[in-house]
This record gives sequence, structure tokens and C-alpha cells, in this order.
Amino acid sequence: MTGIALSDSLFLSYALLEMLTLSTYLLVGFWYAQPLVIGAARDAFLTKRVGDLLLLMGVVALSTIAGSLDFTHLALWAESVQLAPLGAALLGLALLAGPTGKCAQFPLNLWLDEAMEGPNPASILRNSVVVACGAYVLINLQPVLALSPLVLTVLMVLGAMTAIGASLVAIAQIDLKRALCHSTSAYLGLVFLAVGTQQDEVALMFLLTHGIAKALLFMSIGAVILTTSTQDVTEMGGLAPRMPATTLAFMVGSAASLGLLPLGCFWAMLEWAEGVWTTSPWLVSILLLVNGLTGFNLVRVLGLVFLGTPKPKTRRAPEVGWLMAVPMIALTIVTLLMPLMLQQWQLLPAWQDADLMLATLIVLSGAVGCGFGGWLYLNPAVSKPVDFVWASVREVLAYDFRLERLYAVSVVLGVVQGARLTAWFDRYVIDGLVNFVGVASIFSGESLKYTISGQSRNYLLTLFIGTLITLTTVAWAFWGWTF
Amino acid sequence: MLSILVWAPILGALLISCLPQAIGAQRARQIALWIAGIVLLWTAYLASQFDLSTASLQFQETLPWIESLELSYQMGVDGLSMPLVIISSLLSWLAIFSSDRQINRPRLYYALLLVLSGAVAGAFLAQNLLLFFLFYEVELIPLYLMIAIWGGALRGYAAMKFLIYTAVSGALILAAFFGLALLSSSLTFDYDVLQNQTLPLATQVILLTTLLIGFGIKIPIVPLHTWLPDAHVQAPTPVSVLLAGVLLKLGTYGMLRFGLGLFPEAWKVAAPVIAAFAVISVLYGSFAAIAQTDMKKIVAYSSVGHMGYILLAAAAATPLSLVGAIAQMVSHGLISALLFLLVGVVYAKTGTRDINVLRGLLSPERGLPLIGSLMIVGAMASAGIPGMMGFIAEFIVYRSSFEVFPVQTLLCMVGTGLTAVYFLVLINKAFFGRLPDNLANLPQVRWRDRIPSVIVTVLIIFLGIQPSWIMRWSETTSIALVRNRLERNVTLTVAVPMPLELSLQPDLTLLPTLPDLQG
Repeated sequence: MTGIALSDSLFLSYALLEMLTLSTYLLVGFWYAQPLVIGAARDAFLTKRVGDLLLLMGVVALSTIAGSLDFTHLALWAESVQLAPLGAALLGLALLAGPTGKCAQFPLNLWLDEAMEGPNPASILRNSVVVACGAYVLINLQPVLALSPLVLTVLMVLGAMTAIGASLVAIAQIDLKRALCHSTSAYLGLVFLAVGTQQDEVALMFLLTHGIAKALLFMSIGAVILTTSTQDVTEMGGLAPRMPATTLAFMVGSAASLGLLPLGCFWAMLEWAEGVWTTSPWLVSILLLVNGLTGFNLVRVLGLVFLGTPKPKTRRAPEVGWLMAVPMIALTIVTLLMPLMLQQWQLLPAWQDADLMLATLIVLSGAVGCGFGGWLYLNPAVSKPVDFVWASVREVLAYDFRLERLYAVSVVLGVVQGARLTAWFDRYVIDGLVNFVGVASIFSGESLKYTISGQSRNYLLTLFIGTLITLTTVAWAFWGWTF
Repeated sequence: MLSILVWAPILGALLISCLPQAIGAQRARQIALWIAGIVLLWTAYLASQFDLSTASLQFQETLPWIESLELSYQMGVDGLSMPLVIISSLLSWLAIFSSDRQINRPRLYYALLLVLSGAVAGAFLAQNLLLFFLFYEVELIPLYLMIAIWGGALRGYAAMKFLIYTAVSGALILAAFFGLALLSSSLTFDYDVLQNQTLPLATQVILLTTLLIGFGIKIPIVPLHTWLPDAHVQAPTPVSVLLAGVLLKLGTYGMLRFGLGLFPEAWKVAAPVIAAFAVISVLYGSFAAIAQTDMKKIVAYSSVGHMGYILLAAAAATPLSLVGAIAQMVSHGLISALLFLLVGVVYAKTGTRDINVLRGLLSPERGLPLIGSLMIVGAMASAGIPGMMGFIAEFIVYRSSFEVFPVQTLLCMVGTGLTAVYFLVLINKAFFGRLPDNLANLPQVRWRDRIPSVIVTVLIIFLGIQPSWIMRWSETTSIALVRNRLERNVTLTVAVPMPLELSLQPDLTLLPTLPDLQG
């Protein structure tokens, strides 16, 4: 992953992305004895592989057209080149597919959800850094993508769909890790939108702030999962007094990933919104919606896991050991110091230039989401699970919009049927033909065997008939036309 | 110099068969190992003396043999054959090493293996068309016998199928060689003389088609492939290793050397058809592999698919694509050898290769953890994951073929994705999961079972990180092959489609970045 951040060549980046795919497969498959894990590892690998493959096609095509794969060269090249619209669109879409798979964007988003079966330390990295690698490559490719307006539109649509869809799906999850990983998809959707509107710096800043906040969240829930040995939020509750450090980490992480005033993501969101506001104001509504929904979700998790009444599995939960606590606390401090660091690097916008209305809106949306979540989940009077919306809607959300069925009837079906058809064709048509030739030759030999009777009159008869046929043919050949 | 590679194994085979009956399997095996080891060392020495800067044949040997037939004993090696000779020597040694110690009729077995190894080396080195044909046919006999004697349950059927297919292949190749020698009225079978033939295009196309069908059986190209899965499934592991690793390469080697080398104009006419067959092979082989349940069949069909990449690169016939074709030959040779070695170990320990029966073999206490891990490495290398040999070879093939056949190349890339599918299915079913009780008491895997696979794995990863070690052999020769073709085009007043200098620049600017992968 360090390599991706350092590499200035698309080829090298591609190679490293593929290695990430492999390591994801191995890490997810770490507990290979469990049936769910096997499926998850396979799906994670194959889903990313679809994206990587399209990216490879794009890389090969691009290297042929552009002559070199250095990002700096590509950016220069993209400024001057004139491509046919169709070619540019295909090229851009292929290049887009890789990051789409890597950043878990619709329609290649399910692997991240399933990958949560893997060990937690890997999940921390995956949700904060691995997805960022995909986005980083995307940012580097942005000049090439910008060659075709269609590609940028697709990029924005994918980002927007994922941002809203994944936020909704996250709310309906009862698995602790899955509830958080869908919100990763949603945030990366926002990054996609930032790239689509050509704000590369904002996208990078967003990746940084989100990565740190999400890593903290995953560390804290990792601690929870370790002590309670369950990932089901309905089995938890009342952990706050028992695990104060973890709870603190979770709250700080939540605050940092929401647009709450002083912490990291607020500044990224503010810049994001300011950049978008001038070009297409409707996009701001997506940001506000995502922010609100995430707030709702995080407060929901907070309420279910850390507050409320203790359940059997959480009653005797101790605080985690120092091996896990030290990095968690350290990261908490880093998260809290994030605004100072941003200021140091002069990434913060000057306060007087900031659009106060947008800032208020962002804070307000987060607050509304949190408040609504708090009203439902921190309030002991409301029974859980909350049947606030229809069961069918919850069902669809809990099963990720039934995306699995979509895969099953499209790609998977095609591959399985193609394989069956080919195997059948191979076995019965090609091999059948070969075997038929073999059987036919043996059969003719076997049947000719019976003409050898040992009786000379039969041989003479055969000889006579043969001569007759030959003579007739010759005669016909010579005089046939003249008769 | 080169003759040692051919005659040392054959004399060794004679020696082993002359040993008294009483001698044990161990002694025969040791002698075979020593001989193969000497050949391997000698190959390494030759490789160290090989001059990379020239494209002409090196270490040449010429002896008149049967002059009335124009059959002369001409040997030589260049950048096209050197990597293949190295692979062949290495895999021969590994095949002998991985042979069953308690094998029946050991003297015959090891003698046949050595003859096979010598004949293959001879075919790679021969510079006379008839001599090549002789070695090509000689290699068939030991292989047939080894499948027919030491094979699985259906060995008779598989061996006969193999024999008939390959004999037809040999006959077609011989016909093409005769046709070329007689029609060009030079009445010689020397490669360097025939290279300058000036036959009319139509004749060339007919001869080339005959030749391609002949080599197509050996490669195998898809409608001609059905002998391969049967032969692989029935053959014992060392034979599978040699068959996939070395013998299939004879087909692609012959296609490049004699097809592209002797009929450059006709090659251009045939190239789109060859590329189309490449696509069919890749997709067909990959899809067929997904539907298989026998591990050996999966690997065998994956061979069909992966040989298609070589075909694609050969069809494109640019300097870079020929480098890619040779790299892919080496990479496929190593990777499929690794996979067959591992499947062989699994079969030897569990008694089955059915992925619906096997489960949980990765289990660290009672399963086959190292074999399983190597299997994952092999599968990933085959699926073209960077850091291993397969990726480099496939990337060069794609990159160079895309310029000539963009659509075909994209379709072949789908095959890479499908490779991941069938190998993941294999790994998920056979190696992941919980070890069932009926597989719990597996015999112990000894280090001697592991050594061959470990050696190949190390090579695959090493060459994946340092690919220039394999590519530098073939660069000058590839350029020469294409230059020859372009220059001939000028003399035959066929329009030259691209400027000579431009097409001769091998675009290897991408590759020097690879050593950085580790960092």
C-alpha cells in the first residue's frame, strides 16, 4: 500500500493493486475452516478481480495509445490528445472499473461487506487504507478520465448511488462490522463525487480524515468483538461503564467521521461542499443526507452496544488489555489533534472565507441525524428493534438491495452456464466425434474380418465383381461422354 | 557442446537398461538423477557462455549424415530455444526426482524418461528439418509407453489416443517439410537455406496450414485438443509434468521456428485466423476447466487456455510479442509443472483428485499445509497475480498483441479472469473448510515430496520479480525473426505496413520498473 502511494506509474500501481487483491483474499480466508469465510474470501477475490481485469484492459489499451504509463506523462498526454468519443468512453470506463471494485462502489460493493468475516486487524486496514488505495489511483487517473464526459457522469452517478444506498443499508445491519463497513462505501462514494467534480485535493483530504476516523471506529469495535465474542448488535448493550476507553474511542471516531465542528471530516466536508456549491448545488444535498444517515447509524450503534441494559454476553465484559488499548488511545489522540495537524499543513480554509451557511448546514445535518438516532435508540421507551419503516423495506436494506441475486442472475449464471455448455460440447461433440471415428474404424475392420472365409470361390467371386466394377468405371470415364 | 545434451541422456538410458536385473529401484534412480543432474549443469554452463548480443545460432555443430537424403546432423541454439532447453533440463531432473521410489520396472522407467529428455533437447536444438522431425517422433515412443505402462485405470485408451493424435501431427509436419523442400527446388532440409525460399504466396499458405494443423495438435489448439486431458489424467505425475512443462512447448516452438521463420509472408495472411483460434482456445479451455471436478483435468484444461496466449502473441508477431510468447512458454512450463507436482502429492497422500471429495487439506495439524500454500501460490501465478512469473508473461503478451489485434486481446484477457474462477473453486473446495474424518489420517508428507515444488515456486517468484533474467535471452532473436520477415517483404515487393525502425523498437520501457516491486 505504501508502494501505491509512492508509485508514479500506472503499471506499478496496477501490479500493487492486484497484490492487494491477493492479500485480501488470504486475510479474509484466514479462518479457512468456516464455511462463511470460504465464500467471503472467494467473493472478495472474484469481485475485485472483475474490476482489476477491466482495469488491466484499460491499462493495456492506455499504454498502447499513450506510449507510457507514468502518471505525469499521462496527465500531459491527456491535455493534448484528441480521442474518438467512443474510444475515450470505453477506455475511461475500463479504468474506472478497477477503483470501483477496490473502493467497494456499486455494483462491486458486496465484497467489503462479506470480507468482514475476516480477522479484525485486517478489517481496520481494509476499511481505511485499502479502499483509499483504489481512490488514490482514481485520483491519479483523473486527467485521463476527464477525456470523456460520459465517464465523469458515470463516476458521479456511481458515487452518488453508493453514497446514499450504502448509508441506508448500513442502518439495517445487525452485524457490528457490517454496519460500519457500509458507511465506508458511502464515504468513498463521496470521494468519487469529489473526483468527478475534479476536486482532487479535497478527495485526498477526505481520504485522510475518513481513514483515520474509520480506523479508530474499527479498533474500538474490534475491542468489543474480542471481549464479547459476538458481532451481533442485538446481543450487546451496556458496555460503556465496563469499557470506558473503548467507548471513548468509539465516540471520538464517530464525531470525527461526522461533520461535527472541530474534528477532521468536518473540514473535508466543508471544502467538498464549497467546491460543489458553485457548480452543482444539488450534490450538497447528497452530502447532507449521507452525513445525517451516518450520524443516525453511529448513534444507533452507540445506543445498542455501549448504552442500554447489559445482555448475557456483555455482562462480564472487561476492558481490553493494553496491547489493544494503547494503539486505540493513541489513535484517539491523533484523531482529536487532526484539526491542528491540518492547520499546520495549511489545509484548513481561512475561517472568514468559509461559507457559513454550508458549515451550518453540515453541522445541522449531522446533529439532526444524531438527534433522531438518539430519540429512537437512546430512549428506553422505544422498543427494539425499531419498526419505524415497513418490514419489506428493512428486509431489502438488510440484504443489501438484494445485490447478490443480481450477481447470481448475471455474471455467475453466465459463467456457470458457459462452463456447463463447453464441458458438454467438449465431452459429447468433439470427443464424441473422435471416439466415433475410432469406433467406426474398428467396426469396419471387425466386419471386414468376416469376408475372410477360407473358401476360394468366394475370393474369386469378389475378384470378379471388383474387376467388373473397375472396368465399368474406366469405360465410363473414357467413353462416358461420347455415348 | 550441444550434443552432450542429447546424447548423455540417451547413453545413460542404455547404461541403465544394461544393468543387471538384481539392481534395485534405488540404484537406477540414483544413476538417472546423476545423469539428469550433469545435463542440467551442462545446460547452466552453456547458458553462461551464451552470447546475448547476437541473434545468430551459437555452439553450432555440423556433421554430414545421410547425404542422399539431405539429412545432416546440424545443431545450434539461439534465443528462441535457449530458455526452452533450460526449462527442459530442469524439469527432466525434477521429474526424475519426483518419481515414485518403489516404481514397477524401474530400469525401463528411468531409461524411457532419459530418452524422452534427450529427444526433447534434440528437437529444440535441431537445425535440419528432417533431424527435427526425427527427434519429434522419437520423443513420442517413450511417452506412449510411459502412459501405457504406468498410467491410471484408463491408460490404454489415453495412450492410444495420444499416439494416434501425435502420429498424425508428425505426418502432417513431415508432409509440410517435404512440400517445402521439393517445391522450393533447393532439395535441402537445412533450416538456414530454406529460410530464404521464395515460393508463391498461395503455396506458402497451403504449406503453412498443414504445418499449423500439425503443430496445433501438439500445442493443442482447441478442436484438436481432446487427447490432452485424457493423457494428463492417466499419466503418472512426472510424465504430466514433462508433458505440460516441456512437450507442449515443442508445438509452439515449432510453430514459431518453422511456421513464422520459414513462411513469413503466409504468416501475415494466416495471423487473423491464428488469433481467432487463440481466442477460442483461451475461452474454451477456461470454461471447460470450470466444469471439471478432477484436479488434473482442471490443470489440463487450464493448459489449453494458457497455450492460447502463446498463440495470440505468435500471431501478432512483433518483437515484443515474441519475447512475450517465449516468456509465456517458460512461465506456463514452470507453473503447470508446479500445479501437476502438487496435484501429484495430493493424489499420492489422499488417493483421490476429486474436488468434491477433498476438503480442508490446508489444516495445519493433520492436513497438507505447505502443499496447500504452494497450491495457492501456483493458482495465483497462473491467474496472473503480479509478483510472479505468470503476470509478467501475460502482461507482455497483452501489451504487445493489443496493437495488432485489440479485440482478440481483450477477449483473451477474459480468460485470465476465468482462470481465477476455476482455481479458486479448486482451492475453496479442496483446501479450505474443515478436514473430514475420512481424510484425517493422511500419510506424512516428507521433504522429498516437497522439494521439487519448492524449487519451482522459488523460480516462479524470483522470475516474477526479476523478469529480465528470462527475457534477455530472447530479445535479439525476436527482433531478428521479425526483421527477417520485414526485409523479405521488401524484396518480395509486398507493401510494408509500418516503418522498419518503428516496429523494431521493443517497447520495454515498462519493464525496468519491476525490480522495484519489492520495495
